[in-house]
Amino acid sequence: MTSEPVVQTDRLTKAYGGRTVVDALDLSLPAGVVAGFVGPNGAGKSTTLRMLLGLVRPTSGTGRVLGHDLSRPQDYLPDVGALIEAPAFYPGLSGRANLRVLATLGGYPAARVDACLERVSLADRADDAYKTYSLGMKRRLGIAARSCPHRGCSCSTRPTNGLDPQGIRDMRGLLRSLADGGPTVLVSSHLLGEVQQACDWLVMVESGRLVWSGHTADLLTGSEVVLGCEHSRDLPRLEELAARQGLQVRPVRDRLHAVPPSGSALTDAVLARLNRTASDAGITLIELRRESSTLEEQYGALLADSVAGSLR
Amino acid sequence: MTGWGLLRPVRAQLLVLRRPTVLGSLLGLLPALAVIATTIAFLTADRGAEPPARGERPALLLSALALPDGMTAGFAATSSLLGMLVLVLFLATTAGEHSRGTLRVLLTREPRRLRLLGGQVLAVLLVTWAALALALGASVVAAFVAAGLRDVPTEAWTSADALAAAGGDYLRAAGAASGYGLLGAAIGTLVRSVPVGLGIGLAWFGPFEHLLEEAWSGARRWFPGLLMESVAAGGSAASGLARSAAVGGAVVGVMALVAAIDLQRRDVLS
Repeated sequence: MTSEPVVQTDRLTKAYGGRTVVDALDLSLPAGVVAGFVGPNGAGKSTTLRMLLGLVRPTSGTGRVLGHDLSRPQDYLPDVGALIEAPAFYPGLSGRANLRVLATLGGYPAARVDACLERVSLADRADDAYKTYSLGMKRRLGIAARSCPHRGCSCSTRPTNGLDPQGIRDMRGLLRSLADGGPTVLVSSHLLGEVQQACDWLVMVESGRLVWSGHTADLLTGSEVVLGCEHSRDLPRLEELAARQGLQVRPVRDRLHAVPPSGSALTDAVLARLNRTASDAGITLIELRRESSTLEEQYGALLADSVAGSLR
Repeated sequence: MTGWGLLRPVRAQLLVLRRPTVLGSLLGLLPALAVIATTIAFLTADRGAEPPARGERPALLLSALALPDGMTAGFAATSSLLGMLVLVLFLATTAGEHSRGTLRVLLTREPRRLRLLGGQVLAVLLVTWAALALALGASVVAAFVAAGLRDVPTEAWTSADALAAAGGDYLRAAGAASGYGLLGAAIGTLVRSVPVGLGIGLAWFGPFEHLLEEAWSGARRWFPGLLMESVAAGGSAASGLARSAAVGGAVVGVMALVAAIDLQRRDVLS
């Protein structure tokens, strides 16, 4: 992983009339990650991607992709793959011919077209007209088109939309294999379960603003601790001890679930102190376990915090 | 980017144009129309020199078809119709990129928008010029066949004058078609919708300009479609060839400039 971010924006803003769609967005994506770009409808995900691809002109702010300024997309787009919204190709041309058009326009060797078709398992249907393709095949052709310039970065929106479970699994594998080849992959999606499984980096936006950005593992790992003690009569006392340490505790059957206050991490030191305190109080813990939350839970909590913050 | 890089949009668009529907409509339909027009011109031409009845258009005379420019008379007569077909093709090409969503895909490979549009237009022009050359050739063959049927002497058709006349007819047709094409591309770029663009283009360059011509004598001097017709016909009483080409070219240039500025500045959201 290089030190220079592949994508970096500084207060990137897009407004249409009086409506701000992307609001002073500061984004930084390291190299070699599969990044999930998540947020509610209208959060500004697609507009941000379009600005990164030179399709939409920012109202203010700056940005760099692969070290080049956003105002000169011709300097970096040759190394960027893109699939924005639904795949769009010429219906009367074959899959291969469609890719050749793009390869010719981008100046890529024709041989790469065949390799891209092989990669998405479309080689046997490559000479059929695009309009005869199933939705899954159209999506795969979109991925193939996106992966032709496989050197630096790849962006796509909702790559699994409309796919059946097998297609979704295939798409997940394709996204992963793209990143394994080196480039950073930025995927915008509403499907949080998919993002959680496919992406190792997350960017959350809401109302055009950045809510959270970082490693998926940092967001999901150990956000809650489950405590169990040898004797159930000790539970109230354990609850009191945990609360004294600033944890928010709730009993769930014969266990306690505790989370750190907003903005604090559930570090090893916190767990060690909890264990020590319980032991000093004569309570024997039989369970002290970090429990990962789902992306959906964290997403809901972060968005709620963001909305509450914007109302204050 | 090398000089060859400048040609990438042209080469890419030529690949797009290799579709059977496009090639069929241009390389098949244009020559076919020229052949039909030539055949009709010869079969309906009058032998005598009697003046036409009141209200009738004067027919071509067989004696006139025997002149050096008679060989391509049918081709010349179809020029304005061919121009409308070319307008439709250019309009559908540019507006279709927006409505299909392919423009955003193409722009991720060639973000210099004017270079992309210029390359696309140049590619369609190249195919159009080739189709017109085919139409001219087909028209000449049809003229020789029809001349045999109507006993029209063809000695004058093999002279240098006939070659010059055919060249002139081709250049005027190509010029008018280029004008129509650029107008179609400008409309397509501005409206971004094939049905809406066709509605505007066909209505304006079809009935509207001709109806307005009846009401306003200056229409043929200033309206782009009528000026292109005039170019294709080698000039009209209201506007000579040079004037029609200059004014028509200026109108086309302004339209193209407006469309280019719009494309350059507009966000691509489709």
